Amino acid sequence: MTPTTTSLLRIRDLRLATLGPARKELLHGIDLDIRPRETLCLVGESGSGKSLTSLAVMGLLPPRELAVTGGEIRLDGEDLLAASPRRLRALRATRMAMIFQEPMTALNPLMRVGDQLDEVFAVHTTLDRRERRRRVIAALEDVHLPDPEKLALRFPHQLSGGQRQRIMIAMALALEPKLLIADEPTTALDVTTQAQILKLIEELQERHGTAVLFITHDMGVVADIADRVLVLRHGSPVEEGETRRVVGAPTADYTRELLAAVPTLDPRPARAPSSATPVLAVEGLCKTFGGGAHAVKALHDVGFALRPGRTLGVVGESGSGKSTLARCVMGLETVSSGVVRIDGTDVRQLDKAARRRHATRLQMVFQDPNRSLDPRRTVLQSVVEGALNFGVDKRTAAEKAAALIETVGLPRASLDRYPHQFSGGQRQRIAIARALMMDPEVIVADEAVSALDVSVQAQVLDLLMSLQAKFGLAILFITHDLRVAARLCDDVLVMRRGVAVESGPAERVLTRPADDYTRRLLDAAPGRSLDQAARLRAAEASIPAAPPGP
Amino acid sequence: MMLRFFVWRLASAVPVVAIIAVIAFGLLHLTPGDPARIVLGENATAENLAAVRTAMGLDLPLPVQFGHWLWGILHGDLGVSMISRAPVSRLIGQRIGPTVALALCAMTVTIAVALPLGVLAAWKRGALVDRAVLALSVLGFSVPVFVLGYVLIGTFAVDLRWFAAQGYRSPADGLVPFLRHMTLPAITLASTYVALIARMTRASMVEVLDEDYIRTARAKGLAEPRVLFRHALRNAAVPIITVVGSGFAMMVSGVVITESVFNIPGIGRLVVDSVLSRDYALIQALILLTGVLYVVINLLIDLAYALTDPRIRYQ
Repeated sequence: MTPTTTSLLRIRDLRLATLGPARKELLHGIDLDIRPRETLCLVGESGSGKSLTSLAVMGLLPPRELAVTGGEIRLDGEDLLAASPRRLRALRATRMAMIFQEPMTALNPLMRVGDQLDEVFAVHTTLDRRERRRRVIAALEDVHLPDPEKLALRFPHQLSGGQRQRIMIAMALALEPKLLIADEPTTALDVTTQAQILKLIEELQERHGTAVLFITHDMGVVADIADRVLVLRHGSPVEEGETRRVVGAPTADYTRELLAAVPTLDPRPARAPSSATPVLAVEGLCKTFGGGAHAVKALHDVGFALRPGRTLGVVGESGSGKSTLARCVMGLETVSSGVVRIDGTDVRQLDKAARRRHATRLQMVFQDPNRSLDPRRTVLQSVVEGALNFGVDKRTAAEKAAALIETVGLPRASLDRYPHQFSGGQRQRIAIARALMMDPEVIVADEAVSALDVSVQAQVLDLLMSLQAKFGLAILFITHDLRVAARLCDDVLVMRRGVAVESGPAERVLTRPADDYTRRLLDAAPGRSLDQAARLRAAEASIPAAPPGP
Repeated sequence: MMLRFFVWRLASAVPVVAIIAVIAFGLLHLTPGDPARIVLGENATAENLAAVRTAMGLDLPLPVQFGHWLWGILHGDLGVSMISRAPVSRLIGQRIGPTVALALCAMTVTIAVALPLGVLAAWKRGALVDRAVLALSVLGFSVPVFVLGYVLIGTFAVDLRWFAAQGYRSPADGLVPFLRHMTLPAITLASTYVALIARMTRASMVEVLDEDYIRTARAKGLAEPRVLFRHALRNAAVPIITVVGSGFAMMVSGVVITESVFNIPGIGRLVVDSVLSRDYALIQALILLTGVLYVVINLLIDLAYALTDPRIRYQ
């Protein structure tokens, strides 16, 4: 443990429990030290208690639901758990500040961003209106937002996610706090935006001498920015140490598992190219939303061919047209021009009934398993619904559902339960079983593993690969995560602003990109050093263990 | 931007008003009852009835009657009461003042009581205060207006003599007499709406208080009143405005009982009288008036949405 005298933030044996009759301890004694100017990453999967720890520091735990039951939190020597609410309010923004995961919802939608920034000065300083205004503009300049005078008058919905997160950072650092707590601040952002925001935090940290408590589930980000790492699991610390040591030579099994679960950017070994007829082929696909001056070209001349048993990854940032492409292929969106062929048949040539039958050949798995299953229906009802609609009798459907639910790795009894009784990963398995129920030839997976923890993500990806081998499925896999694409895909199509900028075998596109944009995406992917560490570990593992030295 | 929004909403209200006019006219002429018979009494002869009908214009084809009526309205003429022969606009004009005054006062009381209660309940969600507010609003909602009215009169007008028991004084007669007559009816009428709006405010606030930007506001070190009223309440406002708006419209048209209990000469009693006497001209005008009132209030609600939420404004 680091010497406590130099700690800016010092947490000892922090315990936290739910209130109410069913009292449950959620944090079982967390120890943590952050020195001035240092970046400590708090890593863990959902439910590990990383956000709770940070909320406890800020004194922002929901009252009447959670309470600290033991331990000590000291900021600059001051006991925060003993501080009055008034004192805590005075410390917030001035000595400790926080930024959050979701920049889309973290700003008040009804207030101009300049006014939201102004509040920080209005509440904590005695500056007059004009001086505050000057400081607001300066703070916006500090986070490199263009045209701060105009921007201050905007409402949050008029800004992009990256811009909103910059506003949040400007707000948090406005009064130069000594500690910045960043709770998954880049998780909701595109990789290139993420890289910019991480750079910005680092730059401001150096300029203002801020210590950063950075919460993330992304080992890649950890490897890039942390000085030290603390790994949490189920509310208990697992491992703590210098980043290079933890990433390079983890001592705890759990840390090793976490690191191993992160897909590398090295593409999977290529499989022999298939010459079978494409089961799904798209040519010259265009989709324009709206008309006249407001027309938005969501897709422009996109084409690809997907053969049975193969996986095509569609990668790109938000707004690149990935999801629109999926929706057009599924027939959920009418295309403006171009051809979608399923098994060689142009879908548009079919009459309504034939198109409906054809639609069953493509099945979709959505991003958020918490919302894609009807909460008031049992798993069985959700899984068999499609089949029943196409005239399969109830018994046959139920038997098939039972077989499929076991195929995706869940017990038969799951069918009688409701979605809320399952974890995110399990729900995604249910969603996959539902898709398989229709005997599809193609699975369209739209960010199907993006909402899952890495270890769960790895399991779901393995499941998809084994199902592909078993049923000869073609998979159209839409993702913003190049690591996931590298792990799963045979071919990759890179989208940018509705245009396919590059496509080809994953092995080539992800290692020797021809297009500048692809290269930028690859460069922005966090945790390049992780890949080196992984290669090293793999190399060591392949060499027979050396006899112990003298 | 704002002006275009307003003009567009105003223009789209025109067809609604036209439909209301057709319905007001149509409904009435489809219902049984003959004004001529009511004017002349039970023993009128067939000739006399026919003569009176001709005089009232009731023998003309319905479309022609409708045309006349509409033409009159467009020229600001609501017609003449078939019973008292007084201009309808004057009859309504005499009665509308007390009713609008009562509705406005009741709404003021409602908002002044319900908003803070709702905010408090949401803030202390699950605590004793929250349950007390719930109990209070159930009580207010379930006690009939006439019971509460007479209890208030008995206590505060008869026993304590703080307020007048009956009647109405215009604000033009001075603020003190006006309030002496208006306070009890306003509280009586407000009781139902306090419950409704407090519940709505609580529900809307509970949702907003879970939002990320509320956490952000607290993380900035803002004090709770500022978080609640500056950040949360405005975001919770849209459903509250809807209920306040339609509540107000309901008040203006639903004051009959309160006006009877406190003997206030308002629209409510005019409606009852005109329906009982089949005074077509007057009923039509009153239906039209109520309809237009709803349209105007809806327009104001839309305008209030746009003022509170920039995302609606820029759509």
